[in-house]
Amino acid sequence: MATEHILEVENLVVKYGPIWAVNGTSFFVDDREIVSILGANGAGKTSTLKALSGLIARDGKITFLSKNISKTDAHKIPYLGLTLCPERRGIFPDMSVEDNLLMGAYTIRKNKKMIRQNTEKVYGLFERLAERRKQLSGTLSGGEQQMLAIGRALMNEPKLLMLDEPSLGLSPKLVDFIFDSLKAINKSGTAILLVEQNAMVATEISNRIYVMQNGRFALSGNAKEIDFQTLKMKYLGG
Amino acid sequence: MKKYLWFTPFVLVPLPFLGYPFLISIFVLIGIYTIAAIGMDILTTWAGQISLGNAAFFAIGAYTSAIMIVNFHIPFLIAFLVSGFLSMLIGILVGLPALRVSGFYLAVVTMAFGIAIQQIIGVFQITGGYNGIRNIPAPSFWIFKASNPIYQYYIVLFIIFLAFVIISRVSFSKSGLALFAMRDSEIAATAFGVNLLKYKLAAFASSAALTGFAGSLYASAIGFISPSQFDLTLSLDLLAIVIVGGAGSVIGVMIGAAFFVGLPFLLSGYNFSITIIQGIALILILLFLPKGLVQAFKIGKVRKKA
Amino acid sequence: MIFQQIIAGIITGALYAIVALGLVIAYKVTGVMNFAYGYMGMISAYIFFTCFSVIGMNYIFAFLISVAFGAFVSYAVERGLLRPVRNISPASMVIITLGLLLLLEGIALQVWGNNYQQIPNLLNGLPLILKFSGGIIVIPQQNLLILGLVTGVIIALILYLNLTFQGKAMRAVAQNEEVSKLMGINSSLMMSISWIISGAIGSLAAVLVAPQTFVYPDMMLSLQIMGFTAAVLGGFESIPGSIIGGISIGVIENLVGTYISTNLKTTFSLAIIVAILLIKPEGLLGSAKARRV
Repeated sequence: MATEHILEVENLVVKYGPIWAVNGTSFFVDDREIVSILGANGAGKTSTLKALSGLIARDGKITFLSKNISKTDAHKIPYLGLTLCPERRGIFPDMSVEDNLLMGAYTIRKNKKMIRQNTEKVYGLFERLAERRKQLSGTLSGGEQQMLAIGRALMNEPKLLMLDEPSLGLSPKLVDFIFDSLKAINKSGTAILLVEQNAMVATEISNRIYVMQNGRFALSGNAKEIDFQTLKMKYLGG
Repeated sequence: MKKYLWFTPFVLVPLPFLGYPFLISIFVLIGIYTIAAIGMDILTTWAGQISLGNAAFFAIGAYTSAIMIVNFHIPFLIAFLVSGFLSMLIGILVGLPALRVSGFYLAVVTMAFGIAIQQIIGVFQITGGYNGIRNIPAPSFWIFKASNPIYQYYIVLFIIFLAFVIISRVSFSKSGLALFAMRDSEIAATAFGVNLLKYKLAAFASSAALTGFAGSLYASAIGFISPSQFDLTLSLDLLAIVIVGGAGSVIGVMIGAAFFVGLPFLLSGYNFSITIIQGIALILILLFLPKGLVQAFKIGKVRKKA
Repeated sequence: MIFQQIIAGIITGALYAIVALGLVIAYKVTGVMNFAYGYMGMISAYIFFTCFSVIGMNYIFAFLISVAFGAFVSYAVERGLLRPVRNISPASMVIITLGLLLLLEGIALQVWGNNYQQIPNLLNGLPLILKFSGGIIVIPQQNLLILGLVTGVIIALILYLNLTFQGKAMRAVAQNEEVSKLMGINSSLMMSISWIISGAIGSLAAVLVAPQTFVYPDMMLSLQIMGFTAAVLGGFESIPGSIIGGISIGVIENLVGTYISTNLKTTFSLAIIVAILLIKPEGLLGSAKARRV
């Protein structure tokens, strides 16, 4: 039986001048799945996500919800239900928490009721944000900024949420909290494509994983069946 | 010696035009602007500092020299040297704030300096106020009077040559490397032990000195100076000359000066506004010849990419 | 006397402030410091002169046409000239706008000549006279108009940027263009809008100041210099910064002109501003953090 993947990537190539950051990768994400792309720094993970969200030039075929988005402009992609929560948080520092969330709702800006509902949902998920809704987001702590970035990405109710290194620079306790939240987000029906260096936490919540090395997949499979020690030793440098 | 050879054509250039002193005086003017623009080049290209006030050094040089010669009958050569020296001292003073501010802030500080000097000159008696100083004699050396433009041409050419020789020596020395390092990254330069303070001030000092010398020559060559000649436009023109001709290259600066100073004379017979051409040229050159017109010639390079 | 000077300073400063605002908004969203800004406004003043004095149009109508024209020129410059090369260095970008300055100056000379053209005040009625125990203050109606329009523009801009969805999206682009795209914001459109607003503001300033300066190719030079200085003094960051920067310079200038020296007004004012910048190199309201280039 041919399954309909919500995201299907065939032969993705990303080049920065003469350097090939992503070298012909193919993968897919199914509805309601959590998929992780793991790998060391510079393996091509972030480039993969940037390519999917249209921020950088890419070759290959990207199909999202049966629509070819290989040539679509970055700012049109969130309208289709594919949203990237960027690396290093990328919040708007001179705006309040509430306004940051509002920007996440840009694609549904005509629907005030939906914006209100989604804002409440985000505040329900991250109570810390609700307490700080009027605060300038540049003054938030690292963990709060990460919550804000995730909350903002959820504002337009994506079908597939892509996250770039959500654990970056956070304490183990906060990492656990963030990943629990991701599980909860997934439970409510959002598929997740995660890019992580922190292989252990990512593998724990994932259905499937891909391991990236020098712009290619060196390994892929069901998260439960991967031998974690081998993965760590062989591909992630200890 | 080989790298100085490209200078020889310039020695011969005016010879066919000996019968047209007006034409040669335009060459002189181009040469004077070249000297001032080399000063700008040192500051912007070498030290990575921006200046929107170099017209002030030009004015300081011109007025110092003119006042010494006209009011106090001091010989040209002394007036000339004092002009450059005074300019240099003031350049160091202006350079001091640059140690604290950069970017737009430095642009404002230098621009303010330029406007202030122009206004101050317009107020005082000794500078002739807004009427300026008239009848400044041509450069003279003891009994020899360089009233014929051809002599002025060779004086100016000689100074450009001197500047070129000094620049080529410095650019290959340790100081030159330090300057390039500072332009590319102040942090990295500091890490390698470059004394930023010293080199920034040196850049301001030499830029101001050269521009002051140019001002002194200008006063004696034109014979008349007034505050309106040293406005913000002159500062911007000096910057534009460097960009159009080719930053970091003496011959590039010469080409730029010829373009900005010579072209208006060429087109003076037509009723067409020169700044249209200059503006379009500036834009096109930045887009298609980012290293300036000299890119099209590839000669007289003082240095390769650092 | 001193109040009269302060009021006069606030009015001059208000013009500096909106020029600063126009420069800052374009800079924040697109990263281009526009050195041709005043000259773009100057072209609009000539358009006004042509519509009103040559063709004989209604004042308000000519005013609206010239501001709309300025907005369009600004849009065209950003979209057609600057956008295609936005990856070159900031220094080169500045030089391109200097080239544009020369070009516009040349066009004005070519089309309208270098005569000083006069345009009248919109309001010529009796000045407003305020009497109080300390003396009297006289404010010409045209100055009240300037103050009113500038205040109106500033309030409208603050409301737009802080309360509307589009205005907030524009601030988002200014803070992080890449991330704003991820939200679905059409950053390219926002850049165009920022230049349209900036161009309209510059034209407004030019038409308002024209009755005092006359219309000629360099008419906006001093306003541009002081507007730029005001923006820098305010920290090149924000609307409040530009307003405070502009008003301070206007007041300083008028007080210096009255009490210290008329001839060296600009010199002393600039000296004070340079002193402020040396003490506080990031400007009055600027922050020390890395800003967009």
